[in-house]
Amino acid sequence: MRTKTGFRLRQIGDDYILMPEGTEQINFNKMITFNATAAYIWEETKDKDFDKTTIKKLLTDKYEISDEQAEIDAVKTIEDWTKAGLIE
Amino acid sequence: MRLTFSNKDFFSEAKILLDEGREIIFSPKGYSMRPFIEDEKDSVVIKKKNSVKVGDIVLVHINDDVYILHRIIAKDGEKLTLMGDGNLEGTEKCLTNDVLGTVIEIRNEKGRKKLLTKGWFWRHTLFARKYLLKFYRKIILKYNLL
Repeated sequence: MRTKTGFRLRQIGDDYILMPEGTEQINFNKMITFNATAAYIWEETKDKDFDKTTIKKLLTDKYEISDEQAEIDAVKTIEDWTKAGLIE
Repeated sequence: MRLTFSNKDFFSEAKILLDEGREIIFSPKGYSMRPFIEDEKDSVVIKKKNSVKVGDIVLVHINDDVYILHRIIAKDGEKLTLMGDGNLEGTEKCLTNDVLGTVIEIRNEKGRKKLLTKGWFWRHTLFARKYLLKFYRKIILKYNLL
């Protein structure tokens, strides 16, 4: 799978938001926000094919977490992004 | 996925987008633009215009992290005086350069367009505003007449 293109990740304060590119109207009420971890995964998987294992590896490479936790987080990330229509 | 930026972060981002010529939509907080903009329920569409007029509702950078969305009640060259429609007293002074953008549409929580005027009647009935606002709160809001 791949993440959809047409977004630019912008940091606002401690949050990261996915800013749609090229659209005339930006609706802050419907904006998708990421925490630092999600932003890291987003940037690392941009324009690449990835799956659960890719995300798991990204997480264990950067953070000191167990395999089980990384697995849970990877599944959750894919689930969230699919729900939000960010994956194609 | 609710946004909880500080004012400063949010509006500095908004300023960039408005300067790029894009329109932004957000829900303003507070009651100072009653009866035209309802706290958090309504949302406004804002766009940067070449010029501003008396009666326009504008987003203004007052200082450091103070941003307001109020109506222009007087204009003298580049100097603007603003006042919230829901306020009985108190005005803000700024320059046209401090204006980030102008409200071009107000939407209710269902996304339907709400009335957006230059507020002529409202601006000229300040003497009765206290009672008009009370009527709005006690009757119109209570019985959901809008």
